[in-house]
Amino acid sequence: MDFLFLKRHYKIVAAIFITVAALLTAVFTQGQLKSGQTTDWLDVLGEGGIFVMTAVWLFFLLASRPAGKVTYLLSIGLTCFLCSSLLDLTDEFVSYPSKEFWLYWIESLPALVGMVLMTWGLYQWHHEQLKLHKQLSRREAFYREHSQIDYITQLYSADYMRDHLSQLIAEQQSYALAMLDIRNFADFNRSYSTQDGDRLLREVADLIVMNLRTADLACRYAGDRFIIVMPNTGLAEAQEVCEQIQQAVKSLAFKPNGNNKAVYHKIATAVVLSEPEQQLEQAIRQVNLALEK
Amino acid sequence: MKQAVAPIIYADSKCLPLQHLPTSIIDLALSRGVNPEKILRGSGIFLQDLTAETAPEKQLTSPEQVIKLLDKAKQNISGYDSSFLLGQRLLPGQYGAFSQAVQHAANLADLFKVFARYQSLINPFIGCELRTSQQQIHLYFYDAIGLTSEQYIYLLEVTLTALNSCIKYLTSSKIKIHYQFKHSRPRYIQEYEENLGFNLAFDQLADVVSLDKVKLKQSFRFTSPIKQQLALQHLAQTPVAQPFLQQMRSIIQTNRSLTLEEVAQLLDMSPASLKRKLKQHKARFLAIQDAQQKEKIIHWLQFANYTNEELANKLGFNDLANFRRAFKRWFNMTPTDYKSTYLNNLNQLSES
Repeated sequence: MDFLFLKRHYKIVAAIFITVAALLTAVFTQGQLKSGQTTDWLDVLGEGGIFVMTAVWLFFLLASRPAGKVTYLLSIGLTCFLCSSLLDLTDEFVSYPSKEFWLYWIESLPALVGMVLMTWGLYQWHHEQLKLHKQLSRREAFYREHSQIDYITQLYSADYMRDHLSQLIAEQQSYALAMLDIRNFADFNRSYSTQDGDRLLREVADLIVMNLRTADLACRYAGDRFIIVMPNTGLAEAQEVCEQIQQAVKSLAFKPNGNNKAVYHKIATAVVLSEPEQQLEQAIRQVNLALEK
Repeated sequence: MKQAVAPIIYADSKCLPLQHLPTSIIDLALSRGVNPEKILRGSGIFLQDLTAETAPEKQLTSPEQVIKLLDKAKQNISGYDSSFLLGQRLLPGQYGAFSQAVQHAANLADLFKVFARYQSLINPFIGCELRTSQQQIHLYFYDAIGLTSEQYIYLLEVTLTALNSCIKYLTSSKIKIHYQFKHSRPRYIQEYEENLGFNLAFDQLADVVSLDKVKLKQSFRFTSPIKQQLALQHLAQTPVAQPFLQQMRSIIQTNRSLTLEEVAQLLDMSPASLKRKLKQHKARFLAIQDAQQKEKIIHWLQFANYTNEELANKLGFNDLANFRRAFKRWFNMTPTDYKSTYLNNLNQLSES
């Protein structure tokens, strides 16, 4: 796991620890320890579980989100909830001087405040997500499956494309399918290095995405082969998009590491149109064979 | 009679230089953002061995150890392409005389010969055998060290990608290679297409690579008869160590009627320890004999167009009924059914 974000949130983490420590100190200095026989262990298990799980949520929230308003709202909200559940847990072991003692008050109120803050945070998150969807258009279609993202190009892999295409076929939508591959990529890999090859793949992937229209989706098929789905698109339009990508790649002055001399690349493209009643594998096979020619 | 037997590579023989496959595996892990320690854990290989100049005997690993690394690599490196990426980096490579002999091969026929004869030097996992037919030349592949079927498929992918990308590298023209696989069409078919081409048939009876003879004599890019001859002389100086199951196959091949006891004697071990060795390598004596016989029949039926009578004759059956019975035992179907199941669907494939 990558805990880069967690390190950046050290202030929040410190604040959480201080709050919890302060609460614990208050509980054990103000309250009186109960005798062991009166403890209801089922309660301890339930409330302790809630406390631990809340802490785990908080941990993953901080480990996976960059700093920002949404993260602050969610983490403050969860921390409030954490405090309430902590007091819930400790009063199984500790009794307080009176029924109106201020720690009782803290036990119930922060949970509500926390839930309100988290709800507000969630609403903000929704807006954030809509913006991110826009950023991801042409890289992602209707659903998200992070295990299908290709490590090198950060595009989705062939599996995702298959799922997406079967969806289109099920909805009987027409589409154009384009296949692209980098010419002499194997030779380039041999004469330079696989690191350079990987970087080239990433940059070509970026160029492809930049040249797509918003409704199109690009995925890495295999090796140096990319596949693009363009819903409701005619042959001429699809070919035009492919030509634009070809132009863009042609003028990419790629510089292998430690080398000032640019190496230029060409890509080959092929386009086929969907046919009614056509199966997914047939469509992919067809465009593959068209590219082979 | 006692024939000279080449040194044997067992699953636990330390014979593979760390700088070859293990280093490629770790390189690949690094380029995919996987912590190399994760892959090395439990294999008995340490990261400092890969980089430091330690004693040479410390830099050798056993097939078993490398298989462990491969299992871990498969688990930890995301995507389906790790076996193919490893294959791409393998040949011609820098393995001394073997690489020289490959690099300077005159043509495909030459390359296939060198490959079939010496590839066990760098790949003790998958064995291969060269067979010819009227129009084609074929390489049959088999498990040479005792792998699980998953490991076998993974290593077959590595081996075939290595061969294919090496051919692409050595020749400037496009060469059509036909592949047949015993396993079913994988979900990640795109990797096969990208790395091996589109002439693929799955659910077949043998793992075979076939090439039209017409292409065999086209000369290669780096042809150099003198350099190659030097390399071949160098290779001929030392007997090529053979993986255990490959050795078993070649002994059985020379004389099909050998019993386990006789083979044990040839190998200078007791029948009991031969049995133990076989078990260690997930094999049985009779199964090896059978597999070999089956492979011959598969080859003849598919590529030689023999009639049942001719085939029965060639295999030494004196009557057709006996042959049919034996055939049914091997393939669970009659020779005629066999032809319609396997040969027809293959023809369809090459037409489409």
